[in-house]
Amino acid sequence: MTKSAKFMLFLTVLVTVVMALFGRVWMQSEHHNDRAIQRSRIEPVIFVPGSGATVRRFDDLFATINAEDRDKGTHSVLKVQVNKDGSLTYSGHLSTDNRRPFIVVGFERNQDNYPTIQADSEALSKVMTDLQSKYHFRTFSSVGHSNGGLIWTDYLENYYNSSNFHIRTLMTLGTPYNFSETSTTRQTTMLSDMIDNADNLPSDLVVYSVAGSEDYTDDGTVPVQSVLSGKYIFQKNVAKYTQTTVSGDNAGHSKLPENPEVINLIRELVLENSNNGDRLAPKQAKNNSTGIKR
Amino acid sequence: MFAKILVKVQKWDRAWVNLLPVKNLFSSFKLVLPLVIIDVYWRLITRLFLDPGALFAAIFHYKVHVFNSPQFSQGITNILDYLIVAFVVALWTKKYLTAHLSANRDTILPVTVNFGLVLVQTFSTVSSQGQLTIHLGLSLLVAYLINLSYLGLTKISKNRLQDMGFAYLVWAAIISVAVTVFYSFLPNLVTQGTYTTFFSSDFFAHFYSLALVAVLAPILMVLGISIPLDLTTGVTDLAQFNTNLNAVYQSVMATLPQPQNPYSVLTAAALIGGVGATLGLALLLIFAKAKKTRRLGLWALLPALFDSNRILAYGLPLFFRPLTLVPMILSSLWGATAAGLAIKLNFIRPVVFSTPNGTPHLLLGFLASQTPWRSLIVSLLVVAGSIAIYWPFVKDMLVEEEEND
Repeated sequence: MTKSAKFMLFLTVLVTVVMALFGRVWMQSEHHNDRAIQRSRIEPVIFVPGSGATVRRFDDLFATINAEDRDKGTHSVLKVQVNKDGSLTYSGHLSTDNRRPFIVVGFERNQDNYPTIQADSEALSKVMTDLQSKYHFRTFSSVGHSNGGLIWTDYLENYYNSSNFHIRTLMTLGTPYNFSETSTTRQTTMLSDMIDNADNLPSDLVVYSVAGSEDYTDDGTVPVQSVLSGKYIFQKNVAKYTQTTVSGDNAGHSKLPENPEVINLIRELVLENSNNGDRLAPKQAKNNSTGIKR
Repeated sequence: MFAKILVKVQKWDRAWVNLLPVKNLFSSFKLVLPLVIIDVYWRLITRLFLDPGALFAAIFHYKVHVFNSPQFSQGITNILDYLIVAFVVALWTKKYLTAHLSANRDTILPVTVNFGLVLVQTFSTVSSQGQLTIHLGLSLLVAYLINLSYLGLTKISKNRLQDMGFAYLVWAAIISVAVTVFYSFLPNLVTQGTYTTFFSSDFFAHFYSLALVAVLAPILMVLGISIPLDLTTGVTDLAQFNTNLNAVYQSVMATLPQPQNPYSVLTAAALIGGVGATLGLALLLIFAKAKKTRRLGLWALLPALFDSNRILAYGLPLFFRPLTLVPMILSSLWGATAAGLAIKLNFIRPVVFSTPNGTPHLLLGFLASQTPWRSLIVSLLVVAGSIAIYWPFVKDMLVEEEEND
């Protein structure tokens, strides 16, 4: 055997052995994690607050729901803040006593503009990956208040990967899909981008868009017409899109999450939806893409 | 009996290789070999190290920032793939026409037309995923018909026409339009890279249907037809795979609903080293006495470990070669039978997990089945068996090459 043949044979065997050893270790950890995700029984509801709001935005809502659900087992609350440098700060805890724990993802960078919404939705995808690796869930539902609904929409269009996650429901509260435009004929860049990318939305998603109305035209901050523009994004692109308007006391923009009607809607449509208790959707084979479609 | 068949195959092979068009084709293959080596090693480096989902990036937990999008490296691979086929067609055209025409005839026009039409084919068939499926056999068939029409025109005109005169230019225009229209009407079925729904059917959850695919795959490859990615990747979307995976996730040692499937029988065993289980062949070549053949084996061994046999396909060649087709079929069938039998006898549990892109099929059983060591033994047996199958067929070829050296 020539020297070069000996060398190539040695190299081939070496590469094979190295790959076998390290590959085996990797496969064991990877599939242990996959199995935990697949068998996980928790289906968190993940809340994203709007511009200028902190991770405490939904505290009153959680207190109300937990007071009502005391006998059934309270929903644990985990909060994740995305800091300006991209680091994550966790507070609270997530227990598996109740299948529907609450998770709030807030952003330190939370100005009311499109680039911030895009940056936050990218950060949200990293938070989701981090949450999944820690808590092993696959199926979840989401609630977005105000611009939080925009962050969810941008995330679902550009970063959501159905191989890794399964989203059941998205509920947006007073979400300004056309920012402050009162006319649906004038589309902001964000709305037209979201309409263009609407094909990427999960086709089995159920969406509820809740608008607040104080004086028939807006909720004190967001024009009703801007909330209604969501239909151009979701209608015909998701399994079900429902638009609801709540009015009267506590229908102001910032009070929407505490509005009793909204709390009932969250309970009925998100926490007690008909799929509760179903077996988890089968995991699809992992494909090689990163899932980032932007 | 076996010796008789072997002698017959060798006889056919010699007669076939000595046919002028075949001789010219094989020498064209050898001329593009450096480009093929660049293509294969580029593909290997990106799949193993540079792509976001690269094998080494996954198992060593590092993030690659060279190509954030796999489309970039895939694009370069596609271009190299197009160029290889385009150059083969152009070189073959030149050699073929030069042999049939008078010495003063310049073949630049038909050569360029054929070269350009391969590129047209690639542009008209590239799929939306950026994954290209180009069938060498189809390109060669089209080029052969074009060359016949050129020779026909030259014969009819009694070789009086100017090389770049109006008549030949009109011929070039008509041929270009006709071939472009033909390619544009090619159904997607012919050019798509994957046939997931087809291979997900229950028909492919039985050993006999998988054995049939194990026999057909080398035949298709030798004829220059691309093999569906569903059979060659460790990142599979086949329904049988998902069904088995879900069963394992519900209960670790669950009885798998579809143990015999394309992933567990074909990818993990029949395709070790590429279509025809050619890792054994590459191993044999590094021991060849002839320097040229040994060098080919040295270039081909590492890619063959990662299941690419393109260097062998062009260098040996495997394409359009009866002598290598027979052991390719036998080797592939042996791999499928060994894995199928081992699963049937419960000696191994089938591969059930997905692996990072680029994982060698040799290690699929070890990494992705629940009986790693037993599966590794089966994989090594498949390689040993394929060496034994290739040896008598290759021996004759090596002796011939040594004489030529």
